[in-house]
Amino acid sequence: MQRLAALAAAVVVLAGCSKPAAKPAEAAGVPQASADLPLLPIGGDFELTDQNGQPFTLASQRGTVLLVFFGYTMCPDACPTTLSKLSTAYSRLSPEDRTRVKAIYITIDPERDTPAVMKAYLAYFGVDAFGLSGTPEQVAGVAHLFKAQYERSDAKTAGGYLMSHTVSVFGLDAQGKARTTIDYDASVDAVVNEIRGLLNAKPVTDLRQPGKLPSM
Amino acid sequence: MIRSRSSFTLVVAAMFVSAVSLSAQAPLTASGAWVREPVAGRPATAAYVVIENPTNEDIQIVSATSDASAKVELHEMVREGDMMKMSPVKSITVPAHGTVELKPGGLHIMMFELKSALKEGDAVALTLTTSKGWTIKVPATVKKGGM
Repeated sequence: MQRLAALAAAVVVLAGCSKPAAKPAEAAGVPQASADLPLLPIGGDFELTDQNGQPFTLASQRGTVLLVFFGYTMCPDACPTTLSKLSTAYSRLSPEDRTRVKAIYITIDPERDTPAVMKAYLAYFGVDAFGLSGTPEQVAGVAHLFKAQYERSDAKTAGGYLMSHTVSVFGLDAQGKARTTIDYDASVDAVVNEIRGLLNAKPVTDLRQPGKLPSM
Repeated sequence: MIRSRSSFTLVVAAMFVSAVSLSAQAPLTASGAWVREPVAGRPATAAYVVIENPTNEDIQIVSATSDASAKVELHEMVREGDMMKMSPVKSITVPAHGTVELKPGGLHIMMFELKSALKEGDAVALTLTTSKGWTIKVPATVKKGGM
């Protein structure tokens, strides 16, 4: 965590040295290409239990860009890879942007992943995240919202059962709308760009209410 | 009499051959071996390594052991759509005059029932065994994260 903070500080210092003054176009609020993210036909509000055992509602996170993904803490390879990547990407954001981005890690193995297990797991990665669990039915419902798949593997291992699961990260804008799907193989740079795109994304509600569109 | 002596010789020869091959060093080279630092006290983690086979024949790795965990298995991850499936495999083939890369998102070595909390920088000894009973010792270093 300390190292991440130091790295983040170093990145910020470097950025501060080399960053030219904001271009006039940006200053005038001209949207960048990344601001035109489509509205994806997945997602929606849901309720689960957070890593402190408290009720969590997605609706309570309006104003925050959310990176939603599914996994389980016994996951030996894919989940640590994704969390490491998100953690590194997070450290590259400006301190201001960091306050507007959170990760949401939803266990698809709620029988083993209690809130306490989720809490310890997330603390390791130094990323500002919710670790959500719930009843198997609740988790299935949320996965269905995002069209995420998971199943228990038949193969027996020394570590008990394994889960197969969707490894994409779903990017939600500050209004909680799904706007992008980040591929498992995306580079850290690509993830940073996706996050910035979400931070700059125009609310889709504007598109549905032409009367409220800003005059161009 | 002659017959029994020859079969005795055969048995001794067979014992000799198997003893030699059991202790033989596999003609493989391993490089860049690392173990993912286990997350927050989780009792399992994965190890990765690049193995090169300079010989004219494919070599199958069929098992692995480690000083750091009670159980070690060979696993693979297979991508199906956007779902990642992980399962044990019986063997990993190192092709003749080729390499096999055990890496995140693909083939890997799974270590279960870790004997102690591995930390970044720790040294871990892995031993791989081939179908012919050859072994290869693989010194690995514990690293954080890794992508």
